[in-house]
Amino acid sequence: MSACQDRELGRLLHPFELGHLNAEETDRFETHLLTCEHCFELAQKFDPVMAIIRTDEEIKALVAQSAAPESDSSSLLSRIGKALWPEGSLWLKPAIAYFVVALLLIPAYQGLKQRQSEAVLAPQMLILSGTRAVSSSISPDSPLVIMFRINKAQPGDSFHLKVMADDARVVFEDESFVNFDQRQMATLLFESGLLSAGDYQIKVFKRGESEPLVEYLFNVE
Amino acid sequence: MDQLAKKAITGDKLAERELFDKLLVRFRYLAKRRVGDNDSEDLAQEACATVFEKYQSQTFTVNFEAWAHGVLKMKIGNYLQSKKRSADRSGEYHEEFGHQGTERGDPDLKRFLADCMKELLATSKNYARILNLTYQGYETAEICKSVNISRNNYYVSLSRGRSLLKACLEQKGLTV
Repeated sequence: MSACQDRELGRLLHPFELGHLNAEETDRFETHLLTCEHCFELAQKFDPVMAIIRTDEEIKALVAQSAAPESDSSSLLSRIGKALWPEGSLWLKPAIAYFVVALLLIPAYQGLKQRQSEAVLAPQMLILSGTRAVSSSISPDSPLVIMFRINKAQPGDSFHLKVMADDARVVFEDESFVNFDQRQMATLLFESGLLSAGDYQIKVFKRGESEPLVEYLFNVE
Repeated sequence: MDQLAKKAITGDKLAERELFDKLLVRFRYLAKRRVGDNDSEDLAQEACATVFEKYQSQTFTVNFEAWAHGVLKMKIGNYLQSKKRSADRSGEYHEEFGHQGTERGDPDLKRFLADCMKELLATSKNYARILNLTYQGYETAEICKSVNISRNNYYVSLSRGRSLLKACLEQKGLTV
């Protein structure tokens, strides 16, 4: 079967099969079918298929369903959008917008209120001197940063550190304390509530020794 | 076909036989499209007989096939008019271009075609829209306007749809 020699007429094949052509086009194409082996064979073989397409109710229903407008099968998102933003009168849309904004602001307002009632307490700082006990208005409710000096401490050294209450109770102990800087200043952090009111003693030992290297006294009121 | 007709007119019997064999097959197809299964064979044979009687004495204004097609068209037109007249008397005539009656079709073909149509319609929305408008009786120009496509795109959509449908049916083992 040689190819169709008249491309213009050849492309009318399927419109012809569907009955789309007007009277003049139909005449031209039917005459073309009398001479064109290619188009006639295609049309003849496809005729049983076209007969069903033209008349079968099931096929027609399938086509009608597929050709339905896009809006019928719109996405979930767009349907939610339509539900939230209905086609209402003009005054309704700003009213809905204000309402939605107000709803969004409520949690933010409540959060700010809560933060105000739960004020964060700043840590207190206590710098100890080796010569005398330090007593200041340290509150047990706030975190406490204590700084003190360990003479001759070298980077890489490790010390045994104890914080003892006045009843000889050990409230904090670190057997390998290394938290000091190049200027030999050590830093200890106590969370709020760890130390109650009373006198405390910090003892720093060289590892393996029973006599403290340095001792500091401080007081929490 | 025009060449065959010229040979047949000069007395070439082989050419004449080939000409009328081809013509009858095509007339059958065209008549069936216009009037359905029932009377298409009679119409095709009548038209062929008329062509056979007259073609040697005929002076073709354009060419043989245009004249032969005119003969068939006239036979079909007369048939439809007579059918309309008789139906008008009984009040039952409904004019419908081309396809009279309901094709029962091969059940396998129908089943496979339904499957293939589902695939095709899912991939080609334009084809679905064009076909839907066809069922509603629109013509090409109206369909192009409604689907908002150019006439060229309309031909492309239809041609692509037909090819996909044909390929799908052939995949299922049918020869179309």
